[in-house]
This record gives sequence, structure tokens and C-alpha cells, in this order.
Amino acid sequence: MKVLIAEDDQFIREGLQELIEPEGYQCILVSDGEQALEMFNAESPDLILLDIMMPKLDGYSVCRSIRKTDENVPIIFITAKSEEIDQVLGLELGADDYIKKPFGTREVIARIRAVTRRRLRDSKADSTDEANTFTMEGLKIFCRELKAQRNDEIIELSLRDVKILQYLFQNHGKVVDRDSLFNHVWGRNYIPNSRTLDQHISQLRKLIEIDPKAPQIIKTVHGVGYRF
Amino acid sequence: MLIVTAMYLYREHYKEINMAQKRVSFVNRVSHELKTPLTNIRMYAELMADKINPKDGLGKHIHVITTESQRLSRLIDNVLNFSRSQRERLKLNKLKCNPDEHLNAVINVVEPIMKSAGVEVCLGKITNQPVYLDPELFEQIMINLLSNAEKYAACGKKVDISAEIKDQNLIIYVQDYGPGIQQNQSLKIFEPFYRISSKLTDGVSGAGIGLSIAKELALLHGGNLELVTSNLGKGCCFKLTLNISDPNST
Repeated sequence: MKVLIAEDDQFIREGLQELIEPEGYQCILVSDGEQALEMFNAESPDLILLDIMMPKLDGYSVCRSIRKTDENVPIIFITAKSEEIDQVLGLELGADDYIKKPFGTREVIARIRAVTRRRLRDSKADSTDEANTFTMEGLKIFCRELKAQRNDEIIELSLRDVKILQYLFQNHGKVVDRDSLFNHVWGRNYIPNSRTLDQHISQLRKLIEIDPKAPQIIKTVHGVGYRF
Repeated sequence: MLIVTAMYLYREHYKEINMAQKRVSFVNRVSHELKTPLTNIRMYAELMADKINPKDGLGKHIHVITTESQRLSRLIDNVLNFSRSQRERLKLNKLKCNPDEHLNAVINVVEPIMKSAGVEVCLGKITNQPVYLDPELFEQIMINLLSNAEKYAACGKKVDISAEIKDQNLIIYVQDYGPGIQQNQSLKIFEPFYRISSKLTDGVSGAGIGLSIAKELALLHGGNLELVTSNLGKGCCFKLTLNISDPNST
């Protein structure tokens, strides 16, 4: 999934990228409203984070223009003024949510996951129910909901977590080599840090395995990759 | 002569209003400008915190940066609310909600800062029933009250909160065990920019608007905020009253 981040402050823009990419999104960064419209038309992002106070064209105008051609793409406004929130939601600009500056990283992730869930639920026609809900060693994965469940425990997952589990499930019993998993989940254009995949798998095990030190779902095949 | 005097007074009055508006607008601009660097400080500290072991020394340092940036954002919100209230009356937005949940949410927010100051927050009696309340105003008032206790009554080590419903009012008591407030200052503490000066309070950071905003918000909510008991050396107790009647019933 692609996220368009339109924000004029370079550090906020890059910080958001650093925060969002590990969740499994590909970020497109722009620093003004005109670029935001250009990249929206060129890249067709799945989600837009839109600052209000931007050079050349403000966030409201960008939102209005986008809504003329696309009623569905989720738009989350980023605002420094709490009074602006009334306008964002009240002027029926068609925004899906808003984040107030100064925001916390957990809040950003929670809002992006919530919007992604809605987006995935709305795209039901794209895949079968069977591919979207499956069970791995007693853990039921709900891909569209970005969550898993074991007994009564609900576990929140990122888009990237779901992609990893889906890929391992599709290759049940087979060894998935590191390169294939990386290319499938991160994409071929991503230049990996040698530890990126291992660190992510380690974090994911802490979330889903009963005993992360003796994993039953994501087993390591030394020197090759992983297997479910 | 009378006309000239009247014109002079009118012009002076207009000039004063104009100056006040400029001051408010300046405060607004400055506060908004502060939010971008503050966003970066908080976001990058939290990104860093995810990459290190929270128990080592660096983790503690980052924790201080994040909690202090949160404290600064609350201060900015207070300044903005204050300047908004100077421009226009804030609007009340009552919703049916459980005050206990909002009390717990506030305690979760302030707990890290209170803990660092060595203050324990204890929630005693709760209401256990839904009422009509503006949750944002309620939380803002409670944050200001607890922040006040953290700044001025940390030596008491404890703050007790209790809630009850009486007639059509939600009543919250916030009791601290700090140095207390002198009788002749019990009303002044609700005046904007008023700060008590003493050996214990000098050097405490703050703009002196927290209690003033809290009282204004309580009045807006058809209630009040009062200092009900204050014993020097033993602490003081604030009583918050909020009207909880259904806004749709006449």
C-alpha cells in the first residue's frame, strides 16, 4: 500500500516515513500542495496524510481537488490548530480523520491502522474470504481486520505482519527463503539492511507465539529462511 | 467639550481593544509555531525509544524528553484555550459518558509525570454511572488540577480523587497533602497569571493560568471550582462541580 505524506516540515515528513514504513507501507513524500496533487495523480496512493498549512496550495484545497475525482481514498489531516478540526470535519471536505500536532507515534499508527482496516474491508471483492481469514497453530488471522486471535486474546497486527503471515501460510510446509520473503513483503525496490527481516520476525514472534523462544508458527530454517 | 472628551475616551477604548486583540493573535501564532518543533522532539524521542532497551540509562533520558514534551504541549493547549476564551466563549459539547472512564484516562496521562515527582494518584469513590458531560472540558480541568498538585504539592506524596453525583451535579474532590494555601490567597489563585510566591513554590515552572482556565471551564459547564479546605502544612482540597443535566431536556 502506498501512503502519500504531504507536509512542509522536512523533519516531520521524514519522521513520519520512518514511523510508517516498518508497518508495511511505501511512502511518497512531498513538501507542498501542488506536488501533493501531482503525486496523487501519478501514483494513486492508498492513503494520504495531509498537512493543512502548506506552501503553494493548502491542505483544504488539495482535499477538495482530490475529492472531485476520488471519493474513496482515505485522507487524514495533520493540523496544528485545534480550531481547524471543526473546519476539517464540519466543512464536509471528506476527510476521514485528523491528527493534532504535537502527536505521539502510537496515535499515528493507531489512526493509520484504523483507516487501513476500513480500506481493506471496503475492498472485499479483491480476494476470497478464505485468503483473508486463516489459522496457524491455533492463531486465527483476520487479514482485513489487521488482527489475530488466540482464544479470547486479540492481537493487533501491522499490514507488514499480515503480509508475512499470509505468505508463510500460502507456502505451508515449504521453506521460504529470505530473499523471496523480503521481495514479497518489502518489495523489490527496497534496499534491505541485513538485520531488517530478522528484527521484524523477532518482533512478530513476540506478538504471536506462545513462547517466542520456541516458535511454533514461524520456525527458522538456518542458513535459508523460515517455515510454517 | 463633552463631545471631545467622549471621542477621546472612545478612541482610547478602541485602541485598548485593538491592542488586546493583537496580543491574543500574537499568543496564538507563537503557540502554533511551537507545535512543529514540539512534534519533532516528541516524535523523534519516541522513535528512538522503540530502538533501545527501556531499562538502560539512555531509555530513562528519552523518557524524560517524551514526558516533558507532553507537558509542554499541555501548557500550549492551556495558553491557546486561554487566548480563545478571550476572543470568544468556548462552546459546551455535552455527551452521555461515564466520568469514571475519563478520570482513569486523565490519571493514565498524568501518571508518568506524577510518578517522576514522587506523587501517587489514588482514585477513591467513583460514580459508576453515565452522565451528560463535555468530556474534553472535563479532562482538561482534571489535567490542570492534577498538574497543579504535581507542581505545588509534590512534597505531600499523594493526591486523592473522589467522585460523586448529587442532584444534577457531578462533584469531584481533589485532595493534596502539600504545603496548603493561605486563606487570603484562596480566591487569588483562580486569577489568570497569579502565582503564589513562597520558598516552596519559587522556581516552579508554569504560566499561572492552569487554575484560572479550569475554573472558567467549570463555570462554562454550569458548575464551579473552589478551594474548599486548606490547612497550612497539611494540604488543600479542591471541589469541582459540573452540571450534568441532559442538554436536550428542557
